[in-house]
Amino acid sequence: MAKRKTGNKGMIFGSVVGAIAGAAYALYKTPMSGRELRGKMSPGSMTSVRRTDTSSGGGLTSKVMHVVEHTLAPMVGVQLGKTANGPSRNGSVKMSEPIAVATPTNGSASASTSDTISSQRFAWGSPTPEASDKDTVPSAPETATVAANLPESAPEFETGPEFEAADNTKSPTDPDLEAEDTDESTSASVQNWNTGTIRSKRFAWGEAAPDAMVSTAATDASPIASIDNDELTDVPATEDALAGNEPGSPSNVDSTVLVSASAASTGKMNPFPKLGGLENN
Amino acid sequence: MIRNAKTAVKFLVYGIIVGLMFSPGSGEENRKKMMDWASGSIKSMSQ
Repeated sequence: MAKRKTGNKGMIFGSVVGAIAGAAYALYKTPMSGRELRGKMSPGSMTSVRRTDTSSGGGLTSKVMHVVEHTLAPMVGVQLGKTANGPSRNGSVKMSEPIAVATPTNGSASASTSDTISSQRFAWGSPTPEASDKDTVPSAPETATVAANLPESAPEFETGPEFEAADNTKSPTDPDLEAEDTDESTSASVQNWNTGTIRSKRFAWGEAAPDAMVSTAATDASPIASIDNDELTDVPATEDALAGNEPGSPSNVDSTVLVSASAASTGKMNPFPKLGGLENN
Repeated sequence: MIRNAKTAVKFLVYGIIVGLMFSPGSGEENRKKMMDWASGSIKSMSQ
């Protein structure tokens, strides 16, 4: 019973001494008054925040607000430090000035997705110059390369009828070929079988094909110098037309070579020229 | 004994909390007031 009383006294004495010591230490070391401390702990009081900022030089709340402002400003489109009706802090940008906006007048520039100055030049109503078409329309590299090597007096180079007449699939006995060979460009068409396109088109410009050129082209196409007479009789009109002679007139050597080239293209050639020994008439 | 020590530490913490919450001013101000009060009391007792 006496022990329990002694224990109770000690507990009471310890609690009182502890409370006094704690309160004294708190009063001796506290950074601020109790009222300011209570106001700082409660977030609803703005006066307490102001007094905290002035007294301690920036508290936790102001730092949090600073971070939140800089984070949300670019998201909502607000520039910090600038007002809507007044100049900025440095005075460089004035938001109250009107903004000049160009309205497109035709549909070409509005359909364009580029933001270059040339596109805006069309949008402002001026007539479209021809130079702008060269800028917008790209030129084919192949056409430009060939055209650079040809004279300007050859307008039929691109889509001339002579170019279409050059058909490798037609045989010398084809009636269509006979009708086409009446034109002067027949020799050029025949050469187009195995020679380059540019050479055949050079004949298509109206110049007469030289004999040396015809012979060379035909020799390249077919190395056989002779041909069977039966084969020649199958294509008399073609032979005369290719040589440029009248039908039925004796043909020269160049026309024979050309016909041999035609026969070689159709597969009717003499595989053994020396053994055959056939000559042209 | 250990039980009494625990109780003393517990009430020490309680006293610190109460002193911080109901302090009339900052620690510096409180110390100045205490020194002024102590010096005035000694002077009045000496006279």
